[in-house]
Amino acid sequence: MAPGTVDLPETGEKVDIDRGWNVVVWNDPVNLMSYVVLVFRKVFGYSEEKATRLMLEVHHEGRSVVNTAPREKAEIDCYTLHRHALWATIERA
Amino acid sequence: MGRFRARSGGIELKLRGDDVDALSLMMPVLSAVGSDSRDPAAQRLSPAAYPEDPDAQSEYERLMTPELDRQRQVDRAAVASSLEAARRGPVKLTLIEADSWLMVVNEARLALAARLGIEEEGWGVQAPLGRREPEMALLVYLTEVQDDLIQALADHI
Repeated sequence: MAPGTVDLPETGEKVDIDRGWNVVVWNDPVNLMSYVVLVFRKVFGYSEEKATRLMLEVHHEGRSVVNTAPREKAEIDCYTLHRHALWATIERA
Repeated sequence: MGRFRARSGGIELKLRGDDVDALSLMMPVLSAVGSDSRDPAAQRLSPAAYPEDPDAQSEYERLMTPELDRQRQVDRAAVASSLEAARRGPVKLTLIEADSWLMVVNEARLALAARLGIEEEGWGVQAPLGRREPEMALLVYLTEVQDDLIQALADHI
């Protein structure tokens, strides 16, 4: 069976399992690295190490998936990041 | 120079008169961020959650924008009131009020940077101080203030 699909016994039809939604933070030249780390720790409860690793990924790769969650939770995360003026978007995982 | 200090259960805000004057300049910067979506500052402070999906984006805005606006007004009111109080002496901020400070100072920085057209890293060292426009001087100053606040708040996490 392909990953992410499931056989329904009644119909044999294959449906996608919802893998959730990624919350993505994008790099910008104005937010301070220390600010981004603080926000990740505060919003997601991440350790300083994890928050720093994600911040560096944003800085060097241009973006980082900071959380994957059901859609409603991803939207609340995105809202909270927007409230902190981070550049965040949502996409399918 | 320690404008914010971690204290038990909160943050002490201690400002000189010229700090209060400079920080008061954040308010007109932010109140000018209107509903005009062509204002680069407005775009930067309310980025699209679903840039590739207009339907999902408009539903997201319908749900989230009123709350975001309301929260930002609450933050600005909290900052304005403690800023005024700080003229008379040190002020004890709750952690919630300190959070409002963190967000308002950052919003003002991003609004200034958007209007200055800053798109590259290293902007802080691009121009000699004397040649910086007033907006750039305020941005550099607010960055220093924010650094103070981040250090004080990091002690509380």
